[in-house]
Amino acid sequence: MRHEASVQMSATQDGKFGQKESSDQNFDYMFKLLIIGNSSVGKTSFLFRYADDSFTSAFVSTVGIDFKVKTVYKNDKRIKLQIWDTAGQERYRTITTAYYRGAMGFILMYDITNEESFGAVQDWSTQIKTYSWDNAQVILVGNKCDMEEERVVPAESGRILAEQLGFEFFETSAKDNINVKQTFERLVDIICDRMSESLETDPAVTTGTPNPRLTDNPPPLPQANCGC
Amino acid sequence: MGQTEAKPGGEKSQFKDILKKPKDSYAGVIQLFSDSVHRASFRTQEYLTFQDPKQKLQPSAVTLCEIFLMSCISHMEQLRSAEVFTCTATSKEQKILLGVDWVWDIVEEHSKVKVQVAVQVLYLPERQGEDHDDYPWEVYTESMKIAKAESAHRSKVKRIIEFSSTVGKSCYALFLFFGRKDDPGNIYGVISNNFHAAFEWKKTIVVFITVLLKKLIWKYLVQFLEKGVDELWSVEPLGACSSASRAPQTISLP
Repeated sequence: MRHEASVQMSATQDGKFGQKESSDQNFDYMFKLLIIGNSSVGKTSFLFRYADDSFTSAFVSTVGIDFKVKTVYKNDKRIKLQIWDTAGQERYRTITTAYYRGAMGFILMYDITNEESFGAVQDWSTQIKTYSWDNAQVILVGNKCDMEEERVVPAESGRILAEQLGFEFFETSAKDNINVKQTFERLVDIICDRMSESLETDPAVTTGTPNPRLTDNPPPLPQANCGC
Repeated sequence: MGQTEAKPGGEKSQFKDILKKPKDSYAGVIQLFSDSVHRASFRTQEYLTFQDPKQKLQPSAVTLCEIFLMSCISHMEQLRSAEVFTCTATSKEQKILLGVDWVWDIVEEHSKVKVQVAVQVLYLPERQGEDHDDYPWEVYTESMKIAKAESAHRSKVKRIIEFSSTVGKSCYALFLFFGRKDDPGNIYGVISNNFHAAFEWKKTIVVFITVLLKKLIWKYLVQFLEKGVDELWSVEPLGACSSASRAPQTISLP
């Protein structure tokens, strides 16, 4: 039974967040996603590229935790993504792990020009297992793939590690906008697939949710008709 | 993980140790910090005490906070101290989530943070919003409302204290009081890496104090903190706006 999956599936039509922006009130599902990984691998840049389509090379270390909201569409359903950007520094670890609870998806990021960040992937994976729920979906991301000349982690190494950990894998560049949107889209797809499996196992998880399932007509992956 | 047991009366704080060593390489940094804070306080006071004859213009709490921060950053930039002293202004969402308006880091080699000062600014009631997060509700964005919902169970004061104690002993919480009931034109500061202990020890009293804080009887909070936290090292005006000398006073060091 996967009742936990429904906890984060908010079917909100009641203006929970006030009246000012009516578009904010209406969504069919809300997914909480986290971006984790060592300091300076590019987590914040990755989020800014996706949410604001912006990039700055200046490095500003994230204080504790921050987040952005973005709405995507999938099969005529509005999915609100609450994307939490965590600080990579060890000193903030207690704060950041407190936000793992209830997350439906993780982007576990390393820097392809930083061996240490790749070596830490296993530890981050353990953190997910420790502080999150079993069904949280994870995508391993090797960021900064625009810096090919400084690469120290072969793409194949990332792929193999992802396979060992049971994660999907992308190499990305927030700077050159490579695979950023695709990573989030894929994570949403995986979460939707898992939700669909849960619903088939126990339709009761939609209690209070008047919406049809996201994957009534499951499209093949990668999804050609995704409205994102 | 990063959390440290808070024991008032225990070992001396790292920040105090640094401040007490004149030969320490950080002594210059601390002096710079002090100078910059005073400069910023002095500059902010010009706006804090501003009175429009037509009573139309009044800088908001957020504006005052930005003036302080910009003045401080500007001074630090002039002295080219960015390598050892960094300032990170938080996003609107972080201000709400963590109760932190900005963070100062004293950085050592390899960008490792040696001492951190997380700052929260508190204002007199006429400048402070209903929700104590400094922004009028009508300007709240969707994400700010989500942040508010996430942190609704704790006061803003409690949030920064939790932040500081969670990070550890090297993280200090600094409350900057922009005005006080009986001294609205002055800026006061109180700093500790052990506020958490005071709250843990005297939760009942803290509830009382929190109520008082809402009514903005500032001095009671300061007095309480003076008694409850022995690492406390500064409860003095950061600047003086009155009469003879307009030069800001020096932060009192232990």
